[in-house]
Amino acid sequence: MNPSSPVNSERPYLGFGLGLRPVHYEEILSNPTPPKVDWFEIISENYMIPGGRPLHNLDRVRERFPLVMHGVSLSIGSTDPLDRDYLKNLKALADRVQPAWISDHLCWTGAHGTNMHDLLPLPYTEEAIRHVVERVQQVQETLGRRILLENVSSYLTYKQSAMTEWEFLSEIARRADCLILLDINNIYVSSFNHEFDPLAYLNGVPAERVRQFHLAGHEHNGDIIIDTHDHPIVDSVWDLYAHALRRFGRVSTMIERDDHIPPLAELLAELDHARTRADETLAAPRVAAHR
Amino acid sequence: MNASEQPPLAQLLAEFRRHLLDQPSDIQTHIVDAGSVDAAGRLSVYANAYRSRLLEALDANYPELHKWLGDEEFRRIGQAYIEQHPSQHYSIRWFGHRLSEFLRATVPWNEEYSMQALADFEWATSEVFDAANADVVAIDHIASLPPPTWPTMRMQFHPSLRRRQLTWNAPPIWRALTRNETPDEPSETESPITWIVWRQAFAIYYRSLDVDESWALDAALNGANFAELCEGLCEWIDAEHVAARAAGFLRQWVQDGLITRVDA
Repeated sequence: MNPSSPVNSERPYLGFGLGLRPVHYEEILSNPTPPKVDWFEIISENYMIPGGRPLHNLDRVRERFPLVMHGVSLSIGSTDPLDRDYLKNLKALADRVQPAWISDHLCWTGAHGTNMHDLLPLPYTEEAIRHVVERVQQVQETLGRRILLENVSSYLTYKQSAMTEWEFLSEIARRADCLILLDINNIYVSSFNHEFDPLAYLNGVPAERVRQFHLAGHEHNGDIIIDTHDHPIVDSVWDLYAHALRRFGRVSTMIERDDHIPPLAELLAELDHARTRADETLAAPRVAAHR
Repeated sequence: MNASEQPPLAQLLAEFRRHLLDQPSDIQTHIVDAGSVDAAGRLSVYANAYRSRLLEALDANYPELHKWLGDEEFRRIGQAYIEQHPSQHYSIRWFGHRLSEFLRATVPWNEEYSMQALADFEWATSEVFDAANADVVAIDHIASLPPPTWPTMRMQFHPSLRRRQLTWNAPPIWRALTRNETPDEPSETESPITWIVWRQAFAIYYRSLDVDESWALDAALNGANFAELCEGLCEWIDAEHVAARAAGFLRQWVQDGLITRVDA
């Protein structure tokens, strides 16, 4: 693949988006005044189906809004062969949707033919880097474009890990020439679960490769934080978002909500808060992202 | 632990997978025991999430069966199904596609025939929901075909069409459950009844077929032309009435939105 442009060209910017969820179709499509959202992110697999109402609604949303595709099943870290059927269907959906970009997670989701349907952690090793880089290159070649890889929340560390998560992510992005979807909530969750400094994470990621931010809520269980996407975003994650804005500048930002999904108005208010946070942060004198 | 004891990536993932599937695994020895949660506790986050996510997916695909059975029984079935049939598809949307087959084969549900039938029927409705789209032919089109072309006429059917042979009254039970009404008691017929489920625009329809229509639909799906349908229908209908009966089926199929193409 020849990526269409050098990665250090100006970062495309979509503004503030939400995850497209079926419970909101009606409000999005029937309201004469379009909701105040700049773009939507879809879960790719939800639309990798033969036909019916979901694809019809997707087409109608696409007529009104830019979309990006976010997958959960690429399983880029798996040691099973890449699923060619999956990639073919992913590409067909991309041809239909014409997304601004396509993302998935830096993780594995299955092995030995079994799909675990979870974002499972990889060991941070040179072997895993080489393995993932080769697969990202194959995927990018198939799709004819760079993909974004997202950092996942994790709950354990492998003994064999030989570097930090952000070193692992950054090295893969550089070697595979892919882009990064930085999930601010996941950085926060993992920094608590593994006791690292989230600002070190932000400072360790190559700014020119960051194309998108995710924001989400989580569940704090005292000893461990679980990435549940079922609550509003907490203050500490908003603060980390402000740090990320100072470090990376304007980056397309969206809010993920996958459970206990509130009415659209509530998410739009949360998205407005993200706008305000971004405007205030970026208007303020620039300070280094250090404690 | 020295470097030679570190498993290669493939082996590490295989151990992790075995752990999630509740099979013997040494994955715990490769996890850092640090902070306030030990390695076993950290692994259990993943094991719990694995099962609860698949149970959620099963609930999404079988909401009416879930209502009918109640939480406890549905969960018991779900857990057993997850152990027996881990997901092999990249999309969780297809998780549960073997549930009725699983129930038929598994004690103590292997004699719960109405439960099996409801699972079977509900899965058919879920397949219909997002089956491929296709344009259907209008009744005017059929009416405009010159009579000499009728005998060789073959039909193509909508990709959403699903057929089920049921001896239990699962469809009315399913309908009552979707409306949050009290369903009828399960009841059995002497011989199986053919039900068809399909989509017209975006609405799901279903109905039962008489035995001759069931045969004719089967034959038409297998490529029989109109003359062959008439010939076969002679088993149930007098020869003088058979063409009218077959034409009646065809008209009904067109009105149902089941026919996408007629090749004369």
